Amino acid sequence: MSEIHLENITVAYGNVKALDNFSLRIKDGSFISLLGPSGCGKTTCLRTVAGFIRPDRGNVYIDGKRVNDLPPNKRKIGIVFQNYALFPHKTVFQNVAFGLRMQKAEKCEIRDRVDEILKMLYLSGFEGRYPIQLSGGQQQRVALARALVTKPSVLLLDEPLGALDKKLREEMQIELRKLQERLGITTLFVTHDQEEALTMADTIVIMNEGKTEQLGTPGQIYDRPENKFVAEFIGLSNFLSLDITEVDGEDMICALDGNILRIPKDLHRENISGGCVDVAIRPEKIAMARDMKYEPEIHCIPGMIERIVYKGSFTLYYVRVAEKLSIVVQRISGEAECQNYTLEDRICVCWNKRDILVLGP
Amino acid sequence: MNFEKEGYDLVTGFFFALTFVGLTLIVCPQIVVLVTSFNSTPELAFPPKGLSLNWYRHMMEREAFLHGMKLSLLLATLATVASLVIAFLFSLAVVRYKFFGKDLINALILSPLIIPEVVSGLALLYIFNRLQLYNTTVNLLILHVLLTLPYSVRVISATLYRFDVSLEEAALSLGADRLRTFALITVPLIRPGLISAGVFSFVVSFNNFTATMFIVTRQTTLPVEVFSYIRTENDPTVAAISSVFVILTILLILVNKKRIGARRFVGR
Repeated sequence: MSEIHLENITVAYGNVKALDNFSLRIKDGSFISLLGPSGCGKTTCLRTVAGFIRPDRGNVYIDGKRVNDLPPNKRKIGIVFQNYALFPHKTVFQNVAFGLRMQKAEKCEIRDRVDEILKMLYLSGFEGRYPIQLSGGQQQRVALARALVTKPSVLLLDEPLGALDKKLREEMQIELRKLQERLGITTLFVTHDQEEALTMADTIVIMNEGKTEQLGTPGQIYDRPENKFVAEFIGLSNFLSLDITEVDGEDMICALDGNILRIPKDLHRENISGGCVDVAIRPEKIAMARDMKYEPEIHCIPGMIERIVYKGSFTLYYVRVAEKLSIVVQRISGEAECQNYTLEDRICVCWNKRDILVLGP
Repeated sequence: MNFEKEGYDLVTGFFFALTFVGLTLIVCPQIVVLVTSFNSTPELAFPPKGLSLNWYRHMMEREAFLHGMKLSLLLATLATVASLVIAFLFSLAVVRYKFFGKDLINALILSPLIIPEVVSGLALLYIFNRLQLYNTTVNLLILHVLLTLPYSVRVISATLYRFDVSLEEAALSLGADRLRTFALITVPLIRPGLISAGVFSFVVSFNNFTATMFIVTRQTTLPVEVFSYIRTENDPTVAAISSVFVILTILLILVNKKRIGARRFVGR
């Protein structure tokens, strides 16, 4: 199949750089998700691979061949657009057959291959319908069928599930990933929905202002965000800004409103001796206890429950630990140890010190 | 609630009455002309004194009318085609691209809508004389293209603004080159706009009198011929011609309304 390599790509619109010296290597058969807020350059990146945008600087390689000057119709790509872009004047069959017709395939071959892909996407029987006569989910599958029927070397997905309702979207995430694995097609997926990226991708690229903030597996991105932007963008976090009072052999000793936190030095990527440090802690890594715990591995801070928000399968506790600082704790709803905590209870929030995410100074 | 509904009915009734009066004022004279054209006596009388097709025969027998008709049809056809091609290319540039002086050129193209036709006609007459261009048909064609451009540009750019560019991108990504994308995707989807613009242009060109009057020489268009005819004669022949005009125009508008094939993908 195919490997994509973007090398030092810069794309500018006036003074704004949509992509700023951006590089990315997508391995054959992998499923990469570009994730970021709107305007971060993820769609520009996809359109550059597709050939709709010619980069101002840098090179695009598909299978080792430089394709900067190759127009989109020669790149053997399949694209699913956010609005699907189905041809409204053509039937489902004609839509799906379009790419094969452009390749001048034989009539019977076209019929066979369209039938096959429609069957694969549960669309048999809809051949004669026009796009307007289909539901959103069906339109989405037709768009996918149309993109895949020509057996492209690269599949580009531009927020293809954004217009579907939540339940259907979650079903399609799984279906799409299964299909991608079965076909082994290299896929670039653009989304602003972190859950979608975590569910589907084997590699996530977090983008911001035309640059990569972090690249990694969903696990790496969630468990070890490298900076505040990533930690803020993915999941919920408690952010703490700490003053480093002292550094000893193993730990940075930090102060937080009268509490002393010992943070293992090896969690910090740089060798630090003083100043301040930004850290984060995920709400689900925090436990609550009635009494202080004085164990070397555990951080424990006293506070008061000021708000309890029931979210169904889990419950959020907002615990005020200082005048200007409240910490969110996420526990499974109905969990035995939490059942007797109520509003205004004085409790302690505790976490293992190795669960701290050090985001840099 | 009840009060609101009554108020609503009153407003609706008022606008309905206004529409009715307006339509009556527009339609009645045309009916009078249509009926008068079947009069059997050589005067413009309503109600007619007896029925006949004399004036239609007279119309067909008068060579000047036939020549005028031929020139008008030829002009309308050529002006429509030229106007569509220019308007399409121009609209494409205006809608899809940014360039220097875009608003100015746009305003210039639309200006014949605002400038009195007397001015346009006179200006062109002056220019043609200065450049020593004396081919009436070509001069008229230039005038009519200028006069029809605002209509076709407006209709076609409105259609193009609504056109979803990602449809073209989808076709490109599926291996269609620019030309095939244009022929298989773009043109079929903006066809209703092209037909509309074409009908507008044809009608504007075919019916134009004021500006045309300045450019015509011995060869004249049908409206000008009719004008010179009623200066000397006063029989229902002109009513017959007017009736042909009206019916032709109505037919064209009906064709436009149908926009054959469009409804299939616009609604269920």
